[in-house]
Amino acid sequence: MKKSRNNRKKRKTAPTGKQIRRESILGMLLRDLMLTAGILVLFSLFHHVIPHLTTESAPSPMPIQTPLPTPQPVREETPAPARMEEPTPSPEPDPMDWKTKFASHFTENVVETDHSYQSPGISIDIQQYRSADELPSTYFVADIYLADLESFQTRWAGGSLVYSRHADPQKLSREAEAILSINGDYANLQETGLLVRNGEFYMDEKTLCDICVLYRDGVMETYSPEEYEVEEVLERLPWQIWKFGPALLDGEGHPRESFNTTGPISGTNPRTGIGYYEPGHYCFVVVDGRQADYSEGMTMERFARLFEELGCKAAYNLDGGRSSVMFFQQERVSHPFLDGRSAGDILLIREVEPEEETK
Amino acid sequence: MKKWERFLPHLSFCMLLCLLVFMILDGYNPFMYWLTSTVSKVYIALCCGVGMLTAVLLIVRQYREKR
Repeated sequence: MKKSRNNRKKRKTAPTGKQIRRESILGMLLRDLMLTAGILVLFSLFHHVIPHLTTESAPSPMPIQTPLPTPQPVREETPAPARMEEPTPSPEPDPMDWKTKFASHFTENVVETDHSYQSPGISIDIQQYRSADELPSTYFVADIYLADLESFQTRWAGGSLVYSRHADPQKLSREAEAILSINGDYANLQETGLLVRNGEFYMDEKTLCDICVLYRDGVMETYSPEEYEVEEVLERLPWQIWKFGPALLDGEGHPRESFNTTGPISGTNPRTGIGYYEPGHYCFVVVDGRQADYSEGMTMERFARLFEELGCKAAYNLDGGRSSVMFFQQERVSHPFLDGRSAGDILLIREVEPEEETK
Repeated sequence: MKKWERFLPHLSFCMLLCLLVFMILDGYNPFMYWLTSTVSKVYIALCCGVGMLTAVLLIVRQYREKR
């Protein structure tokens, strides 16, 4: 009698085979989930957090100053000696004398409005446009004339190259006393690439990305990886090299047939880009986007066509999306998606004294 | 040995699941270098190692059962 009562009790409390299996499967799934979460956390630690922490304390790569170019002799025709009858030919204008070349754009004194700035060495005019596309967008074009290439600078977050460091681009503009600035190419997010900033050499490893080179003679050129050799580029003494891309125009100023980038980046997005007309004449373009009823953004193809319409000979895409922003006199001009975000670097135009050394 | 035989398939599965996540993220934003940074390359190598180890243990187990 007692035995059967005990057995009945046991039968009521003992779990069934199904219950045991269900619990073990659930336990297994939970453990696997926790293991996956742990792996993701560990990866993020080594991929994002630790590099950011350790490279702040480690000395940043020492920039190597590229030597100033030896002055090129002005191509002047020497007058024929001792022949008074022959007229002396007038010397050809110095191609680097942008102050004379673009004199109509500069003023003796600084003249500022809410969208323009003119001084003896810089002329900036910002215009806002609305594209008449199927997905209309608002974009800003800053037309830039410079008398001195050293006015065209870049600035790292924190003032020096540190892997993965970023800062508020408006703060960077203020630190640099920028008249005009846009977000850069977040070059400090990659440990490789061909990189020169403000004449200082950082690294010379070729990557699969297009590059944009601003040489010290004011010429700006874009290259796909197969179109350049590192040594040849460096021999021409670059002033700036950007490594985001893609390049937007071909050698004749027409949009490229294909772009060296990925699908999601080629889609309709806010955009930032730089354009080149001739030495001393450039433009910054920022397209607002991802904001319904205001500005959708542009595809890469449309962005390239925009630079063609502007008449640029070369154009280059920089970091876009939420990063795209333009500042004028350190105040925001464009309307970035979700109020923008921090940047690894900025491009800027500022006044420089003729004898001032850049950092 | 039996503990490793039980643990390695789970580790292999979780690591490969994470790798799949990184591949998807890389498709959306390749400029975060989810697959091409030094850390990512080390991680992919570890995935290969764990996968191979799991396969070897499974092969050994099948061989023993056959015998």
